[in-house]
Amino acid sequence: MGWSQMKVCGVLEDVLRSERTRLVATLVGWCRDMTLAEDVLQDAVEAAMEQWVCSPPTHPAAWLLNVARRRGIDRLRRRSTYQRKLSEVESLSSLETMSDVDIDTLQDDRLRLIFTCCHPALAMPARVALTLKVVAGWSTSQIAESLLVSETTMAQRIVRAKRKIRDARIPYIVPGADELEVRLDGVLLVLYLVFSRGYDDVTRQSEDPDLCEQAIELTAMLSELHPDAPEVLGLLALMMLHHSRRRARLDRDGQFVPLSEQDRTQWCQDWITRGLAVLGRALVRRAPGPYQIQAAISALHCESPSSLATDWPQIAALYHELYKLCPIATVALNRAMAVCNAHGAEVAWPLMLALSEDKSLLSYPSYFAALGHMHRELGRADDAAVAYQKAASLATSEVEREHLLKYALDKGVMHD
Amino acid sequence: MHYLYLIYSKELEQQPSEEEMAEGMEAWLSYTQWLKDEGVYVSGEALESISTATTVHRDAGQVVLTDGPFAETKEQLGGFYMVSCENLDEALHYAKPCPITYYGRLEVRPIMPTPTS
Repeated sequence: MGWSQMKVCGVLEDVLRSERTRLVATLVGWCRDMTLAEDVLQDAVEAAMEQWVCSPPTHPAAWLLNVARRRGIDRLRRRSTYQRKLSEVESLSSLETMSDVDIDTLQDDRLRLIFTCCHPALAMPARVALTLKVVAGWSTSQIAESLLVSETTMAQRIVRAKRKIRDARIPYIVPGADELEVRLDGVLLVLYLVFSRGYDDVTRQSEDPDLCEQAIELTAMLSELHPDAPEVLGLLALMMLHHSRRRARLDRDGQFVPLSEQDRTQWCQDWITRGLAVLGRALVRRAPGPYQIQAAISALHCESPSSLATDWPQIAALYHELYKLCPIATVALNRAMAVCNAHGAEVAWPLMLALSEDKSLLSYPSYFAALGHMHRELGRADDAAVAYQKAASLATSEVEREHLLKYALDKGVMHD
Repeated sequence: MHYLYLIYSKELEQQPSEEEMAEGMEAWLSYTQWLKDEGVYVSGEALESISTATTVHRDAGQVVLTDGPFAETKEQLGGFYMVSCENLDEALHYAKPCPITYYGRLEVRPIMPTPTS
């Protein structure tokens, strides 16, 4: 008996949701070309739409994979011999020597796919784009829109990256033990950037694809494929805990709300619970790293019933640990703010003063907002207003700018 | 698969001392020997200074010679290695210890495979 068109669509949707990345990963290994792998999978999906109505498959994922493989052979054979690149000749023979496979015994190639898309020989924007396109299966236009670049630019970026992988022979492997840690850090950075782009985009419409949830999904996948790395779990926890506060970051008028003023009933308890559980799994390994420490800081915020009840001494201590691992200006700035909240502005001021030498902070609105805060705490209203105004002038989003300007006026007047 | 290492550096403004020259030469010789020992070395040469370069092109079909390099940039091609490696990771592995990375740049370019008949 055949399937209805609706049933076909339903089954296809399910199998692509759960298996697409695995199918692409296997096909990239066979085709040695990401574009070809994506194209032949698309061919197979179109064939399924036509054929499953009359002859439903026993194993939909295996059916797609085997049809995709045969379409790959067709596509490569159709190219005339002299146009064929050596790599294509190799792809063809690798596809031809393969017989139909059983999906259950098939090796899982997703880790290879992730490491290849995040290869350090690719520029960071290319890594982010490829990860979304090939690993997560987003369309070029969805990626372009989410990352605020034109579709043409994005399409070129993706094509160029895929070509480099093929022509420079970036190997399709999980790096060996001597490189694994560094390369894994690189993958985590890509996933972190995907998440941050989503988190910072306050203009996103609810129907748009969500970079944050995608980053969480990819990191969760990575943690299953590579379960021995506590930092993967640390990043996953960090994302979940941050994500829990997303709705509370904007008020009803779309105005930016800082952490201390957020309505904590708006925080998503489900994400908090999941994030805390993942963080727990990471911390028992007793191998702390930057993502785990940041997640622990985020957890302390999430667990605090009010802004006033926040355990600032503990947060300051964690920032101190984080600074030892990542001695960068933004961490030092957060540490200074935490110390200010924990032990007062007098104690924190020397830390803040030490940062005035750092030129990288001069374009950073949070630095001037923190400066404003400390000036105010130390009773220097005029300096506070100047700093807040500077912060507002640097803000990247309108909502943030308006918020800081309000501060500049408020706090200036308050101490006059 | 073959890769070309293009070695770029700024032309030195002043002549290095004899000691520096010897040290530099030693580093290059041992790097070249290492590539050979590892079995990846295909060929490699150093080029004479850019002041010796002559550029050839055509203007309206007529050959024109220009005294000097093709592009007047600060960093100039000073030599190359050709290596035979399985993939880019391997090519990068052998590029990383190159002496040039301490004072110039090394560009790794895959050699286009010749089409099969």
